[in-house]
Order: sequence, then structure tokens, then C-alpha cells
Amino acid sequence: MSRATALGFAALLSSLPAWGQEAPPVVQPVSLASPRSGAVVLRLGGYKPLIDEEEGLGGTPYEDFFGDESLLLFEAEMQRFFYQGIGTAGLSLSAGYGEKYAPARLEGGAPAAEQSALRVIPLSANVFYKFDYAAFEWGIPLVPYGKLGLIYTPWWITKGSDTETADGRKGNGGEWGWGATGGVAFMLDVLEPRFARDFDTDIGVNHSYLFAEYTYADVNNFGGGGLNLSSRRWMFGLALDY
Amino acid sequence: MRFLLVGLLLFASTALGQTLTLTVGSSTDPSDTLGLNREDCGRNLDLKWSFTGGTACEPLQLWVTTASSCGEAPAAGDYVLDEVPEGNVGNPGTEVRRIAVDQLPVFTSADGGSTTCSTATVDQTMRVCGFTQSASLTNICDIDVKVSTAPKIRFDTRPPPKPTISAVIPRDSALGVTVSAESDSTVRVVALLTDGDGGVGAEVASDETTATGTAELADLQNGVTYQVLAYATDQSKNTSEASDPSTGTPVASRGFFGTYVDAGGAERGGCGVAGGSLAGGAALAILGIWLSRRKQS
Repeated sequence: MSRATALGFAALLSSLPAWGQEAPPVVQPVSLASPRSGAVVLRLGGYKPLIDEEEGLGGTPYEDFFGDESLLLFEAEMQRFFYQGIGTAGLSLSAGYGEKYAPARLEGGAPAAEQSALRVIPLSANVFYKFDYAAFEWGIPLVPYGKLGLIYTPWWITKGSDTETADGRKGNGGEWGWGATGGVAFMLDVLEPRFARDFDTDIGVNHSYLFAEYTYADVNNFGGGGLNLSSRRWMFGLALDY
Repeated sequence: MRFLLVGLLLFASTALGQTLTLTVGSSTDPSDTLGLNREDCGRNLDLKWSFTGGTACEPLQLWVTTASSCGEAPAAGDYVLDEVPEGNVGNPGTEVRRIAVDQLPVFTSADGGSTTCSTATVDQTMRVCGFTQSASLTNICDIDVKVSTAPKIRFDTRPPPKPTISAVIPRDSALGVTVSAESDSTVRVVALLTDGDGGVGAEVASDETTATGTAELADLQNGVTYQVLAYATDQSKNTSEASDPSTGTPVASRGFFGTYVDAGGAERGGCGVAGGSLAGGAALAILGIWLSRRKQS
């Protein structure tokens, strides 16, 4: 072995420990998602108030007048998240509008030329919890949730273009009550993950959901009488976390 | 070629930026049509103008024509007003020109109309026109500026055709009356009591509606038959003959609330809607403000 070859071999050996001392690069995961603090919820469904179940009522005025049909109810809800850990919890406010028309009745029961309508504006304040931990951590795109709330529903009844008056009573008012809702939401992000990321980057919507929910609501002034606007109903809609 | 294109662009942008607007009478919208009839023969209408986007280098010519468009100069038979000196075109201040109604071009024999305003029987729409010129970037006075939307004056002494009552809808203590009349007219509908001999008595209710609208005759008595008539009034305030008469009888009816009360419903009603709506609206507003503040922080 020549002197030059021996020197090169020695240099190579001496450099090996230096390579071993260099630590491998550590890659820290960086989240590009925007902060998530609340949600906007839009829902639609049939609302059939249980007016005919009022105690002491001598007939079925809702069924006689509107038949078996429901009001078409639209609601918008704004949610604020207070806890995000194993699921998400928070408070929300909701407002909606529904109406139902039918012809007024002549004395003999035949339909009159003018229309009568029942209109409602359900308002509610709710606490809610949704189990979205499985969706975020395990990739299961279904989010069950529950809600409990205080409800106030202003209503008014028109005949022609005016609020109807009957026997000296004016056809408008407001009813208090409570409601519980359970539902399941399907996280749309799994269908188009890239589009979902762009949606968050561009306008701050973290997640999108389609959902179905069932509401049990007693809206009869807590049993105090008057127009019974309670309902048991299914509603469907879209929710956007932001 | 490139210079020609740039020149055309500069010329076009300058011309497009200049706007001449005219308004007549109390209207501030040039697209309104001002209706006149014989009763207006003694009036003078104020004509105002505004000129923006440049400086006029020629006097502003103003005229009234029966033609369907204005052109760049008055034609024979048009009613020509005093021109506005170029210095006042862009700064009219309180200056106006006055259009004498009895001088409108519709009353000259050349137009085939009657000779005087007070005896004319005519229905004619006229346009109020204006034209001036403005300097281009090269300081040559060669940019034509016409009125952007010529205000219209309609001199009309002919009453509109009598309206048609297409339906009388019996309501509770009221009648809904659907009418059809000449477009742009308003229709006054009246209910008259009929006497025992089939004659017509006093007017007991009236309402106004549009040319193809539904009038609501309220505060009538259920079970009483009323005669219903309609009158159309056009933009020039000419009123038609009465429509062919119709009759209607208000009938009592029950809406949903009446049906509920009849069934023994305990609801007293009469309150809560406004308060509840306000409370709900206020709650949502508070939440909205709160959320927006959270997003900003």
C-alpha cells in the first residue's frame, strides 16, 4: 500500500465518526387549518304544531283547517364553541320562520275566497355537545350530537291581509317552551379533502356537514295553556364550522 | 396602426366621460314622463341641466321635439328654447330655461294638431333634447355631447278607455276588486249602496290600485249587495268614464283563529309577537356582534 493510499484511508476513517454525530432532521407536523370557534347551521323541515292536543279543546281545528299537512319551517342557527377536546360543546341561538295557508271558511264550511295563514317564528337558545373526536382523530366521518334549549315562538294568524280577530281576541301571541334535539352529521370533508382544505384556507370554513336531526319540543307555556306549538319533527340541513 | 388605436381609445374614453343630463319640472329622474293636459296650458316648466366630465366649448342648444329621437340639432317645427352660453353649461347655478306648455310643438298646424293648447284634442309624447360640444385632448372643439336620456313630456287631453272589472271577490266585511286598465294609469274603485228601486246611492268605500291590480274595499257590511265601479286616471290626470258596473256582497268567514276559538281554544292572543321578535332579534344581534369580535381578536 502506497503512502498516499494509506493517508486517504486514514482520512476516510477519521471522517466516519463525524457523520455519526450529526443528528437526523426532525420534522414537526404543522397544521395549516384555521382556528375553529363556532358554526353556522341552516336547516329545513316540516313543522306540524300539536295545536289539536290542547287540553279542553272540543275539536281538531288544525286538522280541520289545514288537513294533515305541516308548515314548511326554515331555521338558521349560530353556534359558539366553548369546549374542544373529546368532542365539542357550546351555546347557540336559532331563529326560524314557517307559514301555512288555507282558504277561510264560510258559515256552512265551504271555502271562502280569502286565505287564512298561521305564521310562526321559533326562537331558541341552546346548549349542545357533538362527538366529533372520532371524526378528527380516527377519520370516522359521522358526528352524533345532542342539544337542549329554551324556546320562544311568536305566532300570528292572518285572514286576508290582516291579523284575524275572533270573538274579541286578536290572533297573535307568543309561547314559551323547551326542546331537545338529537342528530347525526356526515362530514363532507372526506369526499373532497383537497376542496375542504381550500375552503378553510380561502374563507375559514374548517369543516362542512350534512345532517339529519329529530326534535322533541314542548312549546305550550310549560303547560300553562294557550296555543300548543309543540312538535315532534325531523329536520335536515347544512352546517359549517369556522 | 398602433397610434390610430391609441388615438381612438383616448377619444372614446374622453367622449364617454361627458354626460349631459336634463330634468323637467319637479322630477329629478330623466326617465320619468311628465303628463300634462289642458289644465296645464298656462304653466311654465323649469328645465334644468347638468354637464359633467368635461368643459363645453359651444353653447348648449335646447329644444322640444315630437320626433322619436333627438338628433344633434332641432328640426323644423320643434320648439327651440334660448341657448345656454358655453360658460354656463357646466355651472348652471340657479339658471333654468322655461318650457311654456302652450308653446309645445304639438299645437302647430304643421304637426297636424289643433291650433291652441286649450282647445287641443291630442295625445302626443315629446322629447326634451340638448346638444353641445366639448374639446378633445388636442383642444379641438369637436366632441359631440347629446343628452344622455331625453326627458319625455306627454300632452294628453284624451281620457283613457274605461277600465274593466274582471272579478269582485267577496271577503269578510270587504270586497276585493280586480281591474284591468290602460297601462301606466291608476284605477280608483268605489262601492255604492244600491237602493230598493235598483238605483244607486251613496259611495261608501273606495280604494286605488294599479292598472292591473286588486283594490280592497273595506268596512262594508256582510250580506249587503254593493255596486262597484272603477275609473282610470292616466299620467296626464285625464279620468275615464266609469267601468261597466259590477256587484258584490261581502260574506262572513272564519279563518284559522276563528276555527280554533270556535273549538274552545283557550288562547287569548293579542300580545307577544312584537316583543318576542324584538327579543329574538336582539339576542341574534348580540351573538353576531360577539362572534365578529371573536373573529377579529
